Amino acid sequence: MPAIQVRNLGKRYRAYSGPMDRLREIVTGTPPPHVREFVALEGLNLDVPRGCALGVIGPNGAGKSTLLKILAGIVDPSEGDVRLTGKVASIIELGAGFHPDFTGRENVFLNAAILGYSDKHARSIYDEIASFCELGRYMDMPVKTYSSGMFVRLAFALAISVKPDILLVDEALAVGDAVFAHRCLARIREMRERGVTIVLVTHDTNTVAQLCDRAIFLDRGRLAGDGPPKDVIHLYLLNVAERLTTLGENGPQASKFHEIGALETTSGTGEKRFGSFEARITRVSIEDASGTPAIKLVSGRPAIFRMVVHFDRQVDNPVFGVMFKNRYGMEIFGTNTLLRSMNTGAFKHGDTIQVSFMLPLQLGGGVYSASFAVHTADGHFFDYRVDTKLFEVLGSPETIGIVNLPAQIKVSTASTDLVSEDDLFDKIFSDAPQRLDMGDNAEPFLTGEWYAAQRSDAVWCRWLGRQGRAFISTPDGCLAIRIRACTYEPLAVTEPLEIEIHIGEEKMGARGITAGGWQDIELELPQGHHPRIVPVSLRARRTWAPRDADPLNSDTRQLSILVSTIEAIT
Amino acid sequence: MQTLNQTLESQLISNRRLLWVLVARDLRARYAGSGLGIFWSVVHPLIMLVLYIIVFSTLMRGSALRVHGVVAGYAVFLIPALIAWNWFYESLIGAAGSITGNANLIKKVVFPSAILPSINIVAGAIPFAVTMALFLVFAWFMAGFSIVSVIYLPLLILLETALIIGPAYLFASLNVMLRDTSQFLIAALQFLFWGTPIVYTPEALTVPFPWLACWFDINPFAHLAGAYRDVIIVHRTPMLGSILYIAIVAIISYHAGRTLFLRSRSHFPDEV
Repeated sequence: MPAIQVRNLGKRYRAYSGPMDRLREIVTGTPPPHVREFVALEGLNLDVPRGCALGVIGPNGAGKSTLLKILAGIVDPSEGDVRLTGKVASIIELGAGFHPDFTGRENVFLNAAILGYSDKHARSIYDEIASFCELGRYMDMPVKTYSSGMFVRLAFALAISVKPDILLVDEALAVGDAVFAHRCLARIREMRERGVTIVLVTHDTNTVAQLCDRAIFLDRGRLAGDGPPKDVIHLYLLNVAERLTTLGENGPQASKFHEIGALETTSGTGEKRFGSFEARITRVSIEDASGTPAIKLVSGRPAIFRMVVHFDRQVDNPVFGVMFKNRYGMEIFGTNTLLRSMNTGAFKHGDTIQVSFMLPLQLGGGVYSASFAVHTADGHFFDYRVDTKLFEVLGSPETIGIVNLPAQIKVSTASTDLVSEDDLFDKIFSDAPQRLDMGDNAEPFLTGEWYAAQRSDAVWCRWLGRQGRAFISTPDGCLAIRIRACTYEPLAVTEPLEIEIHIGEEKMGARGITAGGWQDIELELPQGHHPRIVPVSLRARRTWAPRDADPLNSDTRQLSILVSTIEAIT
Repeated sequence: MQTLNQTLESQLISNRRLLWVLVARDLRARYAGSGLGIFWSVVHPLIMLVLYIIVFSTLMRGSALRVHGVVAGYAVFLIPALIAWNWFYESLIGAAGSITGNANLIKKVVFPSAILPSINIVAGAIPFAVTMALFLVFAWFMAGFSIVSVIYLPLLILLETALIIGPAYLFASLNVMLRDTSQFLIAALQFLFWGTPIVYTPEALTVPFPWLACWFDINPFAHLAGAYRDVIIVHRTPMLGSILYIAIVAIISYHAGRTLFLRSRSHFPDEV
């Protein structure tokens, strides 16, 4: 006998034209002739064996919550049969039965009565609830004085105190602090291991993937998928992508989409595609560092994602973007030319161009999908190829997790009294150069708020945020440190942007950078400087965002000065 | 599934403990945070009693009325029917909003909705009982003890309860569909109050307007007010006709209220 048995379940809501209509139906027992019916659930059959954790996913309005409320006994089904075996606890909304003026303790007893407990039983579970939610003396304060996190803690502790055979949960765990949400999930997992049957309704596919051993996918009130969570989630995400397409067809942008192109989807890899097709992505490829097309790539090694775009009309400064998602559909990484404030140029009818995204593939092992898009800065999609390519990243045996960050591990003696900060720098940044050009090679020797390397006036340079440090090596006989910098801050024309500089422990004072071209700042090192690696700390007195100076600019980064080199001079 | 298939009565009986807890919640919530707490429910009626008696019997001497040959001060005349009315009034107004005011319980928790309209009836019975008991002691002190009031008062309270329940469930259900119900009810009860011999004797109106006698005959609360006065002031057995009439109206209205409530119950989660 399964814990939950659902047979041909249906729920229809009637859209009454007014309250009198509903009243007439209640009094006479026959629905008004012209009433429209909305199907929330239809022909649902489901057997959930004891101890199974079932995830219910689906878009809004698919009938997930209705199903849960019918299982809980809050809502009557219109047709069909529902049979639950064992004690049922439902968490439709945490704290629904709470009275705000009552203390936590009083609410526990009030809700215990709603759950049908005897006074004696309520007293016996009280301690357990109090210790799980860790509210201490707050248990004797009115719950209206609680923070939302405290409220949720008490409510969850109460809800699971039933020791149910079947637990029905609706999205309720998305609230509260992360630590507690984690504990709730841990407790649910523990209950599952004890053989409690769990039905979890959620949008969050990650929770389903983690917690459930089976999932169903509801779509417009019908069972659209049933099986292992991974497969059902995949189905769901495909469906979401499709919905996106349909939305485009019927939504506010409909006219745009129909101007030239038609909607089109290609199957095969499960790719979804939409847009106006005034510019088309005609080819996409994934290549390894050598330029050889590949679908298996090595974690941490460079890869190239390339698309060929053909323009059927004139377009100025289109946006090209790429997005990687993992097998749960979680967006792992995405970038585009707009986010990077790149001007891509103007293209005319008939142009065919190639766009390449080159990056070190610092992802954990697993299968990913790549999506490519061409659109305008204001969100008009010419062509959006969703999940068009699948690729596999061969994980590095040295790392675990979803990303592969370039880590260096150093082990050294922990006797801190012997290791000065300077010694530490010498060890960690031992290969720091005497002259630091701000290209990609400088990356290992920079800490703080430095932005990515870029080229300006034919030199490599990078923006500094409010503060940052650079490590350079100062040889014997080194006299000074020279920093080459400039700024484009509009204010700097009249009032130099002041940078406070420290070298090692030594405060070197502040220097002003004025607008207009590269300037050198020289800082003399104190007498008796011995050769070592020194940190050069730069701290800006103010920052600015290009966006603030020019509303059309999408660059919202907080910037101070642009630095091209830092070097030790002899 | 259990709760949705139960009848009104079995749901009330099987959840009687919860009913008590919720009545306690209601009373405590009313006075939550106040120093005297639940004692206010005794203090208010006591103050009311004392003020009525002072104003009508001490300050406004000479306004004594004859009720079936018994001379009674106006306060003594007024109070039994007035506190009976207050219970009726408060219960109905409270019951009308009981479903709509507990949307959380209806929509989010497995909850026996049938006990909600009863909460206000029971909660209102407590100040009613306290005031009635205080007044009874006062009446005995003034006019001597009477066994009649001890025997018949419980019967009248039972009849009044029966008279409240039907409309309580009726208006509770109606208010879910038509939110104007509770406002309409407040207005209608004003008319009923003045259309019932509570602040005046029936004769005060039927002598100048004989046709009003008809109305007093069909108004069950007129019978109830008369019965309360018979028992407490005149010390005589209430008229059998009145009692039967009230009982019949109570049974009919209970049936109507119960039927509408059971039929509309499954609509509550959609509408509140």
